[in-house]
Amino acid sequence: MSSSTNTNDISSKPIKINKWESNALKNTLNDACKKYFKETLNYTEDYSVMNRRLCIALIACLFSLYALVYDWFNPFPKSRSVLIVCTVSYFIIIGILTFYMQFIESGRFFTGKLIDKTGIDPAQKCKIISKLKKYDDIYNLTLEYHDGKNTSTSSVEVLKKSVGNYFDENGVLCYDKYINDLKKIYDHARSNARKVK
Amino acid sequence: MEIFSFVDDIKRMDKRQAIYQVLNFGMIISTALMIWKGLMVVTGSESPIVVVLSGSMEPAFHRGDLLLLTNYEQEPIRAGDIVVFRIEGRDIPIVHRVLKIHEKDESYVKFLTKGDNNQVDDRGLYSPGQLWLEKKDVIGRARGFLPYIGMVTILMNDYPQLKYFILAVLGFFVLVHREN
Repeated sequence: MSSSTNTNDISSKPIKINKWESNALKNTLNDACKKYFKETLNYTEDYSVMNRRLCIALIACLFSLYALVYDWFNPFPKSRSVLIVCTVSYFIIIGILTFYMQFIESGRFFTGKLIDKTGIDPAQKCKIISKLKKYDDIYNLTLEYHDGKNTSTSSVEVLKKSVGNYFDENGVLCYDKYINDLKKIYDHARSNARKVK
Repeated sequence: MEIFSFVDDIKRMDKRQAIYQVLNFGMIISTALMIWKGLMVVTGSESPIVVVLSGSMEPAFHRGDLLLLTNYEQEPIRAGDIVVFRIEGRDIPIVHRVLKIHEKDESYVKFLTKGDNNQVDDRGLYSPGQLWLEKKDVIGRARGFLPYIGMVTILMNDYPQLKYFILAVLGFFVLVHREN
């Protein structure tokens, strides 16, 4: 059973992965979800979470690059204080990065905004978090929907299903099946948010 | 062609994901580099870990052993210490034992070395006209050792293509493997 495809680009070829590799499974499902939200529902992706992560990593690499270059031009005993500062800051920044990825980002792979074309209503926001434990087959997707009009209303929907539902014997992703489930929880979240007013 | 599935993986990565892969690679290299620089600062030596390249210190150290060095100012060099030094004009460090020292005040020391397994002292190895070594030639004193591990470094220096090949393969896998 392979997914039906739109004709055009490379990303719409049926995605085939190693079905035993749990990272590949999670990444494929995450990517498919992002694709659905961006292409079908027309959400614009908010890159700030990812950008912050990239910035922290870049700063860490810059510290180590500076230490390398300084030590190259001023051989060891002279560069001692610079090395101490750079090494300590590098490890602190790596600590911050780990903390950031573990607790603040914690599996959130998509933050999106749906801007109303008529410009009357403020944008609706969506935050999606996914978790797939190491030797587990249950994929947990948490969708947090904020209705723009009333910022205190938000509804959270969870999709908890085995990955076996979405991948066939050869590791090919059954896009339609997955999208159906996504659509269900998305609609559910929207209607819940509207109800709680 | 299962092995080439990573090509599809790469094509599916978006721009930010690709930047993160490169930064991840950079961070792995930086961590190794920072640990090395950190060791340099902590031990006070410009090369805190060296590999024994010759058999001149047998039976204490054999070719391929890894040595951990320290180079603290406060600890004076004494006869019997195993020092690693570099002779001016040559890059290869030598690991031998201190035989005699002459010390004036606290600041000026000169010493003579000899490998345990050699018949004569090192005067033949020093630069022409040089009869003694000084503190500035010393990289550090051996404080700890790990047997056999240094063979990897010796192999990679004898066959540089092997070194580049392994590094290229490792680097490639880090860049391609996606793990959020």
